Amino acid sequence: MLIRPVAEDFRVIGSYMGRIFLVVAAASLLPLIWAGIVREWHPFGSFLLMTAVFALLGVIGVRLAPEVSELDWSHGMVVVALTWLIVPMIGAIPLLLSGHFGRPLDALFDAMSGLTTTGLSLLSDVDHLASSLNFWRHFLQFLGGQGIILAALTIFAGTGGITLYFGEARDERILPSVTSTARFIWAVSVVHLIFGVTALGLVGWLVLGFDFDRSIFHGLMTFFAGFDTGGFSPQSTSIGYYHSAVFEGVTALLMVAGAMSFGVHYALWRGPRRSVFANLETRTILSTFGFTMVLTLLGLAATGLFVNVAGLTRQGFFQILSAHTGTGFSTVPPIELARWGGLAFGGMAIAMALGGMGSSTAGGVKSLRIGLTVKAVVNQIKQVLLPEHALVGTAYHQSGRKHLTPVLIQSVMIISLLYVALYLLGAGIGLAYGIPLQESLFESVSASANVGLSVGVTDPSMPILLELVYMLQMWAGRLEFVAVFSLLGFAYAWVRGK
Amino acid sequence: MSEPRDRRWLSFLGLSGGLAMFVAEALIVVGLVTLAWLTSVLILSVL
Repeated sequence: MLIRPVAEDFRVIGSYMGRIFLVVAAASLLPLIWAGIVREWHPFGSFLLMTAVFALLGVIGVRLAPEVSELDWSHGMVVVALTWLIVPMIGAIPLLLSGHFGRPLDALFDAMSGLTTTGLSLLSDVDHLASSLNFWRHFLQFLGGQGIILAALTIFAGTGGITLYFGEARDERILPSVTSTARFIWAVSVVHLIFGVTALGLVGWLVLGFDFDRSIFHGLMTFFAGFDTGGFSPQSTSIGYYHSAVFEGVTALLMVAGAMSFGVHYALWRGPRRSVFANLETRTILSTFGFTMVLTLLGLAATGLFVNVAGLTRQGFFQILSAHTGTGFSTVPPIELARWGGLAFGGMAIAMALGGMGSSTAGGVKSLRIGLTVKAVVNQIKQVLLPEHALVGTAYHQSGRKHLTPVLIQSVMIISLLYVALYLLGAGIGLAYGIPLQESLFESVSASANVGLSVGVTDPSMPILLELVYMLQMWAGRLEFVAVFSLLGFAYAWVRGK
Repeated sequence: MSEPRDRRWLSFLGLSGGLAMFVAEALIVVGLVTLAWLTSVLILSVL
């Protein structure tokens, strides 16, 4: 029998959400200050309104329950799913008031795309967007990539910290406590921020001839979108705008860092470093990267678009790395990407669908699940081929020796199948609107796996239903389903429970 | 048994902590670019 949620359930959920909103309100002060410094008064007003709404919701939530009470698993998941819905709604206010969007829904689409680190955009004339609004778009990607809940957990953990932590699609705790894990993640990010902005800023200043302020701005925006595998860019031509192999190289390093799990960062930082390359996840992602890269390069060479090694390597490598890490940066426009077709298209779509490592900012099925699935299939074949009483090894290495259990296989298979269903959902809706299968599937996978590469389907004139489906895909794909199903279950129990 | 070898890895450059993490990430990128370049050479010479 379903039990209808009572007032106490809503009070607990509301109080945790209130605390998270207060943290987001504090983060919203950054674009507000930015707008004030550069004297962009129209965006300043809209940031003030947004911050006030976050703060008001935060205060209301905290007043529901001044003492932080215990948060159980289902409450935690509902908090995560609702937070990831409401933050983009309020975060879209400055975008909506900017006048750069045709429909209010388009502003929400961009806010959802930003927070989920997808990178698809319906914004028109990004090249002339106010710098504070550009900062907010990219900062949303940083906030979403790091995890808005994680940001809150750094400040308050409470008894429900672990539930919130796992609800945000993180499946490993690096240090004994959630708070110390959250702080380590921030430490890694801050170190990358210093390195990324300095390196990209220097390239902009010394190589591209930008003035100092512009170099820092482009460095910071590219860092936010690269390290958090978001893919937004202050220029409509993305990374292709810079025409610089050095800029692309530094961006590639940030994309690789962003797609690594924070467990790998921990091992590279504090050791044991060699264990990183023994991990099933590392071996899987290196194998799938190699496989999809060969497919893409073969496809590109067959099109005849690239006839020299340097051009083929540079374009092929950057695009496939962007796809596999779930970033969405590109050095070719969507129209040219659509012309790639065939094997190159397939290689890119597979890379996007597979995604980066677990507990990273990347989306997609994730390498560990792919590795475990392959291992389970191989074990199954061995069991069929070997004598009846032969024992098939189930051990694998992932931050230590672990065993492949039926429960683990079941969980891996369910999530992987849900991703496939999500990819097909958007592709099916696209097909219904007459978009060719290849483009429909590519764009749907890009939205669901939070990548952001586009072949032109995502456009201000796109059908509203398809836009809504892409938003659903971005949200469900980012949270890896569990929190989404918990919210649906909670809502169903509220309506039909007793 | 693996700990002494772990300490040696990158330590020949005197690197540790965050800097070692960067060098490792840069080495991975260089390795992937080299792989892409070799693949391109092979593909273009065959096609």
